Amino acid sequence: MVPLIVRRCWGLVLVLLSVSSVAFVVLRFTGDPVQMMLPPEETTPEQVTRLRHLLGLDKPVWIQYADFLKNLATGNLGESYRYGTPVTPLVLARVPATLELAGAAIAVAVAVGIPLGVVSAVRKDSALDVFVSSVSFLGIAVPVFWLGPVLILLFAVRVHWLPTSGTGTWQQLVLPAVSLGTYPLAQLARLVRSDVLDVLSEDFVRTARSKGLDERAVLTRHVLRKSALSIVTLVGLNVGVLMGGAIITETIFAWPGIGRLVVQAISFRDFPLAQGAVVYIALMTVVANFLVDLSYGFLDPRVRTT
Amino acid sequence: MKIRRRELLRWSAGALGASFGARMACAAGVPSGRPQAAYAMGPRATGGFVYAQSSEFHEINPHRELWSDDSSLHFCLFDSLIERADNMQLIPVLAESYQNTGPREWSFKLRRGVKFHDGEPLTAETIRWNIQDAVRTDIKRDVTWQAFDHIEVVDDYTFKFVTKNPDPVLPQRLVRFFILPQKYYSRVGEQGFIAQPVGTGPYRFIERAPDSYVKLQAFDDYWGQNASLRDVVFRIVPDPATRLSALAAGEVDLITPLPPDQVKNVNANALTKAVWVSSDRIAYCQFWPESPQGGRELRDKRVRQAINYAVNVDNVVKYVLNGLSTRIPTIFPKTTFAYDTSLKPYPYNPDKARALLREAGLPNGFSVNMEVPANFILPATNEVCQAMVGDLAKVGIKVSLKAVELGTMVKLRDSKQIAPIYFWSWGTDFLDPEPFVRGILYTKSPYTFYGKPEWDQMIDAAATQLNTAQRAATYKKLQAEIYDDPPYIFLYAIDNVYGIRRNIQVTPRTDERVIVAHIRRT
Repeated sequence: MVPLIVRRCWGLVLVLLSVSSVAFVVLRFTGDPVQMMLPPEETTPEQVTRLRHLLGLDKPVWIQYADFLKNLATGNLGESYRYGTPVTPLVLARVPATLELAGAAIAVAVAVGIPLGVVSAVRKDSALDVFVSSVSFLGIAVPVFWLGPVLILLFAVRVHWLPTSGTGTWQQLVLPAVSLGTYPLAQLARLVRSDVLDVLSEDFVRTARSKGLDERAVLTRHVLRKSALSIVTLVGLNVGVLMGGAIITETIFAWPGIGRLVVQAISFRDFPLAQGAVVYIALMTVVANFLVDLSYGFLDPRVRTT
Repeated sequence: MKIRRRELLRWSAGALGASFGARMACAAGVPSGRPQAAYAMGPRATGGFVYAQSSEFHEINPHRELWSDDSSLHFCLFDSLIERADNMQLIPVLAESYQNTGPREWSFKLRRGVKFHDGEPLTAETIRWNIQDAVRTDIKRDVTWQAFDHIEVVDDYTFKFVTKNPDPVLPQRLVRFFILPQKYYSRVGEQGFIAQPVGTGPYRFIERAPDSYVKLQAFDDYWGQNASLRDVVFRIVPDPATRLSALAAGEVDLITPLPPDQVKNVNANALTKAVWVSSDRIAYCQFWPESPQGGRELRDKRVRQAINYAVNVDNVVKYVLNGLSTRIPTIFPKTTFAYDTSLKPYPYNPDKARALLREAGLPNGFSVNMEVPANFILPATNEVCQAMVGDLAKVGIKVSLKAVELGTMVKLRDSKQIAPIYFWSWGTDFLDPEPFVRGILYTKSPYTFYGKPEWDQMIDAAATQLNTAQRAATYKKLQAEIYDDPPYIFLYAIDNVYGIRRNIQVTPRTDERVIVAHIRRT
């Protein structure tokens, strides 16, 4: 276990270094932050020169890169051009909102997707199965930029059950969580259906039934346990992606998470903030993948012994 | 340590349950580290006034840059010496009166009894300190302070501004010079001030959740008439469709900007309506005959005139912008005092355009690149350009139109890589031609792509003429010159369109500001 963790930590350092360096280089090609920070109608060239000097953007790029690496080595991601404050607290301030939305979306996906998949498999070829399969296809096909506004129109504008957007109350979490959770929900339902169908025909399931276990126990204790690896893999990968922020969902629902921060940082050419957010997203993705790997050992004894 | 699978599952379930419990507790009103959103269901639930705007605030400190998106908040929290009434007349605010007492001297009388939200009194010394802070090298706004020389404090309530040269637009420059509390700012520093801003404005700051909302409350000891709306929330809602839904759902009272194609829908709702006014923000297409992307044909003024005759701007305004813009003959908006009413916009005349192209030796037309910002502050920019491309094709000008991300377009413009024709916009709250012509017509400006030394002389002359009639005459001459030798496709001034609840009384403002203290609920 310890060597694995050490290996992964080295890998993490390499990933963070590569990702932040790529972000540094790519962002430099996209334009001048100073021109995005000052209203052009009310800005003189002298003002632009002064601000460029203050931000250190008049230094050669390789010196800026050396400064960036030096700061990164000490955990300092720099100061945001736009907010004038250190990047780390700015990014961390968005983490709770992102975690909340990602957690709720995953909860929706797991709570609805797994039972749907199981029911669909158990009642294979029934009308219910056809319905669930169709809904799953739809869930995968429907883009969130369509689903989000439709949910808002239905539940906020028409029936006034839920607010359109914002954050702070559980009601405000429902629509973005459903919008964001629909895709992994559909993925999970399809995955579980196909896994359960495979496992149901295996010998140990017949044995479990023949020793008198009721169908629910067969499904939960034997069939789903076998599917746990693929479910955890799928959920884990989604968690990694969602921790990086859901840009479209956060914009539609005015959710102040990491995704919106990244979009704003790139729009304003706030280089330090965009780089810092990218480092965070890479970190979350690597950590999520690592946890998925670790969970295999807990879920499947065969993995532990190999 | 060995962890069993069942233990892992149990811990996970426990953690999930605890997290959910904490969330529910927050929702139930138990204090937490995160801001509460009692206004989740909006004015329908709380009675407070909610204004949804598209963008997060850029600068809470008004001595730094002044973006349009920040101005509504600034006007709630702070006052300036001079402001504009809803009818755009300049009115003294913290200044009780002001007058031009010499070619380079303006004398101000300060209003007595004004207090900041923390009780600090306002005196002429406060003004002196504010100027010192505002002209600090790192944050100095040249547009406000470029003509300023020094301040002379006469007594506690009298001071003089002395300018380097005669400056006819000094009052306009001061419209958004907001006055901050010297003692409080010095005590808490800039970051402390941004976290908890204090001013003399009609509202005091309550709380802010970055990129989410700012909450304000009416300041009971305000020197002027107390604000009619007591609790005010600025919500940041970046998606225009969501803003519109929030208005329809009764969660917000006012949204800006309302896209022109949604005016009909908003008016069809029994609880909402759209209101608008012509603004001083203009749209134009810049010609740049020296572009590295080509366009040398544009060196001939007959070609630029032909393009102005070939595009049917009236139809663009009528059909693409639903009539919610005002056609202008040059780049001078109708709101400026020097607008020349005798000039009429180029009429749509494709035959004349073809004739001019033939005269210029281009009987078969030519090909040219055009760029437009894909995401811009103006509505439907891409559609407007597509309509113009269709018109130009009819006279033989084949335009290759490219929609470019705004930041990339700024980079192209500043590195002089931009297309020979590009769509852009200009607007300031000066309501004076000076920032327009200085910005996009003066040859020394980085944003000028076609100008002439004789036009520069007119611009410089008008900038120092204190006699209004004389200035107007100079600008009228300039308008006639650029009309004849067009540096742009002259387009329109956009309308500021607000979506409001029908029980809200608001006067839309030409200067793109929303002054919450002027709004009433019926």
